[in-house]
Amino acid sequence: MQADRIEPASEAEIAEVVASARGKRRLRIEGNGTKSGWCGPTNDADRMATARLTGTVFYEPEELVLAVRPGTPVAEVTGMLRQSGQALAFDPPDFGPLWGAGTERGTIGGAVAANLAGPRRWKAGAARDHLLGLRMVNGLGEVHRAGSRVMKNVTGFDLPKLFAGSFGSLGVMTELTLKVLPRAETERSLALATSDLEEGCAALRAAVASPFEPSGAAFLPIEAARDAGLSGSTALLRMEGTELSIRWRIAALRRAVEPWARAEELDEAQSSLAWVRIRDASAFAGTDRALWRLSVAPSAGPAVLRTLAAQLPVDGMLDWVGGLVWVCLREPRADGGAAAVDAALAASGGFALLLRGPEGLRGPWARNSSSAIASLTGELRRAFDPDRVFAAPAHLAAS
Amino acid sequence: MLTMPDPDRRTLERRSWIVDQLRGIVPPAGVIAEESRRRAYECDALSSYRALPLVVVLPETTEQVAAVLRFCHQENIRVVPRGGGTSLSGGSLPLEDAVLLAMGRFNRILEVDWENRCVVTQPGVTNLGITKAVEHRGFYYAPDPSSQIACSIGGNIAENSGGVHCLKYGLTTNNVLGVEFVLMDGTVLRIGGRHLDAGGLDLLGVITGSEGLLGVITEVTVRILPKPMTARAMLLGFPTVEQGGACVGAIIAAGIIPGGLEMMDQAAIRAAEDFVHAGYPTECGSLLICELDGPEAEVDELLARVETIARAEGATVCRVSTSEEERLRFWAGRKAAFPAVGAIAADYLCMDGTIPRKALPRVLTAMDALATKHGLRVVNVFHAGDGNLHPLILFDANKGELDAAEAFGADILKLCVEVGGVLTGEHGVGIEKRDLMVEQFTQGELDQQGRVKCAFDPLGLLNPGKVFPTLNRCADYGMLRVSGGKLPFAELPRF
Repeated sequence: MQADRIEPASEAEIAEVVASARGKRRLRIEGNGTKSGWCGPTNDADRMATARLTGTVFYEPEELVLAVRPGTPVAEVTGMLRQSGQALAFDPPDFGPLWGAGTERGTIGGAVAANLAGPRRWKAGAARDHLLGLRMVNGLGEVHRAGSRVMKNVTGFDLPKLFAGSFGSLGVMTELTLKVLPRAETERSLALATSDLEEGCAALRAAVASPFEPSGAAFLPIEAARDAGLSGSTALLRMEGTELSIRWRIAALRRAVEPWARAEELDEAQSSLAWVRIRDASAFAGTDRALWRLSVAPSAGPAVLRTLAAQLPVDGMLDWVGGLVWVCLREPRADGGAAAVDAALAASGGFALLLRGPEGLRGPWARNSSSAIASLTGELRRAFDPDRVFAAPAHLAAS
Repeated sequence: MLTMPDPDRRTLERRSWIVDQLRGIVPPAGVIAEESRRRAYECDALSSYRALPLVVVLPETTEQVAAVLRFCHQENIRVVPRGGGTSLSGGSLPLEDAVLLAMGRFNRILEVDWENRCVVTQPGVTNLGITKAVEHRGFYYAPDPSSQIACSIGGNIAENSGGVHCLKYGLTTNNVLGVEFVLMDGTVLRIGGRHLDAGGLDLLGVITGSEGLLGVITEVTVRILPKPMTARAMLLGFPTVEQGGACVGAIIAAGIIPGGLEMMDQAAIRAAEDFVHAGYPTECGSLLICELDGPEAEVDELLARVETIARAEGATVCRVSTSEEERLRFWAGRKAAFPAVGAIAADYLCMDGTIPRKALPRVLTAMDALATKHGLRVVNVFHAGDGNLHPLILFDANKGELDAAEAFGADILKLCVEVGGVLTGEHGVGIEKRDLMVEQFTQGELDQQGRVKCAFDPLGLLNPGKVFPTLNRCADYGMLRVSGGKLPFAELPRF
């Protein structure tokens, strides 16, 4: 049965819908629904979209703060910030194309609800590290504020952290207050030509441990490298900052990585293009082949990818200094590769999400999750939504 | 006037039995029952409030922590966790009927993972102790609260501690990767770890800053950073606070995020200068200490840009440190601000609120009026980068001025909320600001947080009387699991 989709026009209307839904119907929250493929089908819930709650509530660049409505497209937010020389440091990816949902349609509410983060994650954090406060409608239909507009705040529980990454399972965010930061003046990259996964990642780890401050560290096997505009398999390091600062730092870093590989410098345009492609995992878009996103300790990334590649024909990519492993099956498998992923995680620990794959096959594949965490998660959902109005994606719904 | 929960009579009556049972769980040396030895734990750094705990327990292993909590849960005994005891808000103030669970024996660093740039440590290790363990290879742990020599990393997580460098490097919550966490019923959870995305709800995020109300931390994983190649400090003096504040805004608007950016008002400058003779310009209305760190070439560039900005904003003093010794001397006055005030007053209260930076001039003006109203002096230091304000209220307890000082403090915090800020930036609510929570939150919002508390601790045994003015019975929220139609301990009163 086709689920209904409702698009309330205001916070008050959302509160009304939720209050009257209690005990009668379930709601799955979305922005523009670009990530609904991620969440899997929800046959027992109607979709409630925040797409009509758009616009800036206030933006004060000197205070490093922005309050915005959830349905505002990320592209609009970043465009506005750019004009004041600022940015969202967590650089949310545009994953729409992974599910054929178009480009630049993701909303800021969706980015935060999925706790998205780009290649700068290991340095600058994810959405949760930049969400200062919010307004929300909980499962009782109550409207509440949480957090604040200031960075230094330990007044009561940090509820914004719970909302980031909650995929709409706790409540509907109707206003988000975000920390914004200066945008780097420019960027360059150092491309180390190497097809040796272990050596390439060792170089990345050494670079990140240096005082020369790279802000991106990814390993691109040949397919991903080509997609990023490079000619061959590459360990890629991004440097951001002022022209002067980069010039000095990139020279120092080049010397530091010499033991591993010959390094070539990418100019601003080449660098920028490459990192957007890495951020958006563009190499894996335009297809419906099974796609996994694994989060492991950085030092474990190479072994995990190698193990999986030995068992299944895959295309892969490593980001976050090796801690983010993208795996895309070249051929279909009934289990989407789940058995192999599960075995790989058993060795390394970490968490895996099937972003795209055979219907009915959904997460979670978390090695460190436990029934105790599932139980606590269930109690927390009850704290916000005792009648279970809000539907959750599979990796949260196990509670 | 501060009310704490009424002691549980049943617990008080069974005290010796409870002590005996605890001696069976934790090695006898780790159970302190004698009154004279319990005194050492009767307060934390908010020393105006003291209470003798029922018994002090110092566990050594996670299993012991779980067993102690399980026992207390079964017997409906309250528990107050304690780290370094440096809380400025009374977060570890004991209760007469509570087990004071002191985590000081959890004092070892377990592993340094250089490849993954993180440290696994027990919660009783000091903040600075983590940096000391990794500095020989050029790393450090970034959040640096001023008490870092004594405060524990477990306590840092409980309070989401900040410090001078948190504008650029984040708070504790941005630097913790994982914890082992024991719930009040003895359940041991392992949350997070060396991988960044754990999936599921951000339990680590809500645990950080939860002030000992949700569980007990028994292990911590934090990220470490490469030490910046160089750090230089600038002293920037302005005729007025307005100009100093405008300079802060201009620096940030120029896209510069300093490693540290502190402000002192004239009273603070003078007190500090009298105390340590750091060479502060005592005629200035405000003084900024701006630290820039990174590779030398970058720092040189930033110093020049900040100087240009400062002069454009009317700086009358502009000094740049030329050596590490001089950089430390620039900081010496700011770091001595609290003892400097201690030297000119019999007593002082250190307040902690955060405001939007642009509101500073308005807040300081209003504070002058409040000083007159309460008949007490106030000195201000300000984490200018992030808006966290530390007004130091001078008073003399022997002249009966504590009440006036606390009233002055409460007025300041209400003002912080009024201008769009919050009651506490880094010290925590504890008991000190508990009764002001209604200034910042509606009852519905407090109830929502109360239900989160119920999800972790349905019997409300962990750190009662802290943070929230009243916590309803979890049953009233519909959050208590009822089995066999019976509420557990239904006959017992709850605060």
